Amino acid sequence: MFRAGSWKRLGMAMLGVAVLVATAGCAQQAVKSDEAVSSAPGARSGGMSPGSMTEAERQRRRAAFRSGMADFENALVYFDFDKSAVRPDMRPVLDAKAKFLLDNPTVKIQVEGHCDERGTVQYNVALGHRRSQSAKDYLVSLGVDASRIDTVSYGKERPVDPRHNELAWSKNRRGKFNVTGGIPAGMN
Amino acid sequence: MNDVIANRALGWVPAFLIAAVLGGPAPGAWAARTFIDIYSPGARKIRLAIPELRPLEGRRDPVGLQIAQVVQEDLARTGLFFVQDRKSYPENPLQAGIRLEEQKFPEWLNVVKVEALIKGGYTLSGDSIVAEMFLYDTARSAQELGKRYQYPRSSWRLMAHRFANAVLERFTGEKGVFDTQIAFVSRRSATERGEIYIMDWDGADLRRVTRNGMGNNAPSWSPDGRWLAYSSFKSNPPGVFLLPTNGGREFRVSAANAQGIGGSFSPDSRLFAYSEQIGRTYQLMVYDMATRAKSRLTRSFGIDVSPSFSPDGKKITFTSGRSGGPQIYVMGADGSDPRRISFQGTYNTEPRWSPRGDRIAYSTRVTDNVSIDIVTVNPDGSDLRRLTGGQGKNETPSWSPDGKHLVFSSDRTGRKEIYVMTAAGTELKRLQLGQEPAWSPALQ
Repeated sequence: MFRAGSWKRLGMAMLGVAVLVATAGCAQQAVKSDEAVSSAPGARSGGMSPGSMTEAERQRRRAAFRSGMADFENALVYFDFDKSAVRPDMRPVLDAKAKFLLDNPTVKIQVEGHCDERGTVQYNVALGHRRSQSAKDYLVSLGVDASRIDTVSYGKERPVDPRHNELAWSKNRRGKFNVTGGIPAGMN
Repeated sequence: MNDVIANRALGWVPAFLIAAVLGGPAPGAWAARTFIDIYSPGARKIRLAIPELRPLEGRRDPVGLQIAQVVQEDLARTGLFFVQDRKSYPENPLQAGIRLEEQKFPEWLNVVKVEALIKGGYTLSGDSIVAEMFLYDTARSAQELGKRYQYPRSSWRLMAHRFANAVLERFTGEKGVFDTQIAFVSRRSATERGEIYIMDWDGADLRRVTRNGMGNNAPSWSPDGRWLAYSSFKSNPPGVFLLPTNGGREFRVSAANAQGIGGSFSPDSRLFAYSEQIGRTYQLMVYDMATRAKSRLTRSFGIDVSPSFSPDGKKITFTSGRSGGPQIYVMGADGSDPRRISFQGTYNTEPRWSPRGDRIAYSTRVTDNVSIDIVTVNPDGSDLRRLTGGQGKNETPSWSPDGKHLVFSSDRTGRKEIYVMTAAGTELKRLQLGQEPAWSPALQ
């Protein structure tokens, strides 16, 4: 059952990759036009060498990476009360994160697990750990190398919304994703 | 980032305090009396009076009334005493004598119905305070206790607590724990992360222990008073640290490459049990303070946290999610034969074994899914008694070293604050803003 689900998710992720490539057409075209313009001898096709890029291209790539990284870090994954399983409605969020990680294979991340204020400190630390692990397991199932993903649990110690109501609780039961290293040269 | 703290930061007792016995108390009539146990909230209370201490030399100082108030508050919070209103006292405390032969026992006994009378006087000289304090039985016109103390003037609170200890011992045969301390977690502002603090049992003399700004949890004392354990997010991964109370350097007890949380010492202070990340879950580990060897105590698929030893050291109670939601379990101290003891409620956590061995306190989520109450049960889970009444979230109970009080946190006023009550749930008192309280051992 778990295996079947993983394959299905992987399939969905591949679909997601295809869609993203299609919608990223502008960037692709920009790359191609730059290649066409470039007449420097020895310029390699594919334009992967920073030395071959114009300053404008470098800026564009950097902006694209920064934007992808911001999306990666800003999109949170939410969990149900007292549960650590990845919710079906959260899979697309994780699929997009897997795409970013597969596109940028040097990037290392940390997944933070968080809980709402209900329940006790120590149990919630362990529950938050399970949430970060569930998110990590999902990313690994999509092909991300497990060694690139560190996890940490803050339990209920760091709420984003300090209020005491269902809306605040649902915002606080979250997985947060931080890029911790491996940012490609020139993308900083 | 190590929190190296000085002796004074933990408020340990100065070594040069002097206490002498004044007069020879007759074989105590009170000590021989059978008072109804503190666990019975319906017991008739002893009527007590404690006038302001008078200066034996020199001028009146506020400390005279302050000492009387600390002693009064300590004794009142046992639930054993009714303290007579100061305004009704039949004499002016600044003029009345404090020695046995100077007492007007008939007035105290017949007019204000006081059975136990505490009198005292003080002399301030330089940085020290000398106090003479007496406990009288008005019905027998007899001295039950007489003490002369010499303390640093700044330690007058400790002196008052020590005298209250002696008074309680005269009544119950057991020394009080009024000179103990409570470690807890507090945020002094909305944006500050939790730091470890220590205060006296009555909430006075607040001292800060950690200042790493990263969030700290789950303080716990070793019964020999040498260690303060706490968990911190100051490291990556977050872990459990043992801080010597004598000002030495702390060390990380949980694994360097795994997150750890919580923990408590065995009664002989030789073992420290805590919870550590293993794979997807948290399991209980035990660390041997002498050999530094670590071993795994539980092997479950659930979350295992919050271990607490029985006073004979043979068993451990803990929280486990192995059956789904968190529930209370008891097992052998070697991890053998775990048995669930909580069956009411879907969220039971933070068990602490009473130092008397007869009860386990824990927090239980009430059916409304919002409030949490402190309950106590027998170690087999029977005879559940609810000590708080559905007012907000009442969490993290911790026993006084004599097993007669519980400290816990409650948000009943809208903010998380530390409260103390008797083990019967009476004599509730709010102490300080904070949570996760842990009572210190009794210190000799």
